[in-house]
Parts: sequence; C-alpha cells; structure tokens
Amino acid sequence: MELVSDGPATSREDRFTDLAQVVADPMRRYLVRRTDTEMAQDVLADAFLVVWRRLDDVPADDPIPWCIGVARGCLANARRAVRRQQRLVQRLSQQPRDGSEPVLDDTDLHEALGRLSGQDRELVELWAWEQLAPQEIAVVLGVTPNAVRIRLHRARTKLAELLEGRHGDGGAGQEQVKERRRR
Amino acid sequence: MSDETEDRLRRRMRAADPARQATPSAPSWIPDLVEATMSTDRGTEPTSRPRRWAPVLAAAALLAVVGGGAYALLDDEGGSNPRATPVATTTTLALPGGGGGVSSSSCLQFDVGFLRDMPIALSGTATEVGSDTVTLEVDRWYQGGDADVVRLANFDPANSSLDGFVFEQGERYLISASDDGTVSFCGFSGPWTESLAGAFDEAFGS
Repeated sequence: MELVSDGPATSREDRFTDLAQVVADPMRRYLVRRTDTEMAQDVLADAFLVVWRRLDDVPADDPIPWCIGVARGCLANARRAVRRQQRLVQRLSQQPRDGSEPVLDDTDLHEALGRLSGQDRELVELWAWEQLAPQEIAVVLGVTPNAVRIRLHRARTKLAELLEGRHGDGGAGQEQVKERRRR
Repeated sequence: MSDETEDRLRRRMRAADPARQATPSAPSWIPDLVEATMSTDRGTEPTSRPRRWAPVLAAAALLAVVGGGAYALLDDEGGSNPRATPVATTTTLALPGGGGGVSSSSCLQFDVGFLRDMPIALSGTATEVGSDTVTLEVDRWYQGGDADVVRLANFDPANSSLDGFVFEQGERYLISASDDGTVSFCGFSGPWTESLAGAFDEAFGS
C-alpha cells in the first residue's frame, strides 16, 4: 500500500516526511512510557530507520499502530542486546541500565501494574496511554481484534481489583482496603 | 466492568502517564530525525531487483520456534525458568527432501539482496548443542519472530558440519531461514562476524 497523495507522484522522501509528522510523536511517547530516556532515543532512531526502509508496507489509512508495532519490536531487540551485554560483562558494582520502565508517580498504580502479567500490562497500557482501539492494538501485537477484546477486558478487571486491594493475601487484603478508605 | 469503573481506571492511568511531561526540547526534532534517518540510509535504499535463483540449501536443518505465541515476551517472566512463556507454541515446519553435503561450489555468491528476501533472520547464542538439535538464545530478531529461544533440529546428523561451520555451545550465530523453516547456509547463516552482521543490518534495516 502506498501513502495517499493528492498531487503528482510524491518522492519517497516527501512521503516519509509527511508520515513522520503523523507517527513520530506517538512512537516517541510509546517508548518514553516504557524505557529510560536514552534507550528511548536510540530505539526511536532504530525504529525510524525501519519505517523508512519499509515505507511501502506502512498502512495508508492508519499508520500509527503499525509504526508503534515497529517501535515495540525495536525495543525488544534493544533490551535483548542489553541483557546479552550484561551476561558478557558482569559489572556487579554498577547498576547497569537495563531499559526498564519508568517508575510512576502513582506508586500504588505502579505496583499494581507490576503485578500484572507482561501481556496484561501491555494491553492495559496500549488502551490507556496510546488510546488505541482493540482493532488497532491487534495490529500492534499481530493478533486478532477478538483476542484483544477478551484479554483486555480481563486485564482491566484484574488491574481494577488489584487497585481496590482485593488481591491482597486474605486478611491483609482487607486491612489494605480499610487503610485506603481512611486516607 | 461498568463504564464508570472503566473511565476511572483510564483516567488514573492517564494521570500517571510518563509521557505527560517528557516533551522534546527542540521544536524541530521531527524534521531533524527524518533527515538523520534518510542520511543514515543514503546509498542503501532498496531498489527493485531481479529474481534470483534459490540458493542451494543444506536441507538437513529446520527451524522450530519455541514460545512467543500470540504475544511477545519483553522480559523473562517467571524467573526460575527463563524459557517459560504464557503461550508456549512450538512450530514445526516442513522438512524439504535432500541431504548430502553442500560443497562451496554449489553455493551462490553472497548477495545482500537475496538475504533480504529471507522471512526469518536472527542472531543468537548456542546454549545447548545436542547430537541433532541446537538451542539458541536469541539476542536479536531481524525479521519474522519474537521468541526468546529458538531450536534448530537437524534431521540428518551425518551432515552436522555444513559449510565449514559447526555449532558450538556459547558461540554466537547469525541465522536466516526461509518460509518453510529451512535454515539457509551457503554463507547466509554462520558464526557471528562483524561483516556478516553488517550484511544482516543492511538487509533488514538495522
């Protein structure tokens, strides 16, 4: 699929420049939400290169989810590279940058998100932060919209329950609920 | 979940959005990034290329992808077994007929354009080398997958040494494979080297 243009045939450079106006900030925000600033910048550059080289594959009508999918893949690769480096060079004295997620100001939410499975967390974040519809999330993850709908519903329910303290350990959970109400 | 609960949840998530504050300082950052991207790539822009002959493949190895399933694993989950995945699927792919050794005279000259056509490409380190299987821990997917672990099955043990390279535990390899999972040799896979990695970068877009 080629990008729609309403003038004479536009060059590849022009198409890419136009596309960048649409997708660059969503891609940047996707990465900033999931890793540290330095890795986000590096991965954004990697992802942009992939989009440039695969420009003809970008869906014309809804390019953002597809490009987020590219950023997602590049982020996974960057994390793998870091893990591999960590295994090769065991710098136990330093705290190596591992590209992990930023800590949220809302610490209860941060903790609750941390207790979700990786899949559930990813779904909830794409829904709430990227504000993608189920069929768009499906494009990012490479699965069916139906699978997204079912899984997303369950993930949101789980997160809500964690935030209400229902997943605490028996009595402690109840204590948590009371504690929250008192605040 | 009621709409109200859903809205509340979404609002809470959005209030905690890490991207809320982090805005780039330079207002021209998008055109700058566009220009940097295109100049990185100048000279290697893909052009249409004539269809090539299929390379002679050593038919002995096929690629089975372990784990991954519908969603990618971003981190190792369930620390005790890093290979455990929520959805474990093993894809077994067709084994083409053949066997027998591959001599270098039956290989095509190495060509990045042909490498680019490979639907599966990755680099990984051999964690286990058995008599007829090799397990690779993936450190990078160039194309065609997202599992953390990949297994190669060699159904023709008599030909475990191909193109002068064998799999050794702890060594790193670049692997490309076709749609049916046949690992390509003839220089399109091999021990990791700067130059082969450079070719993979060029073929698959870093």
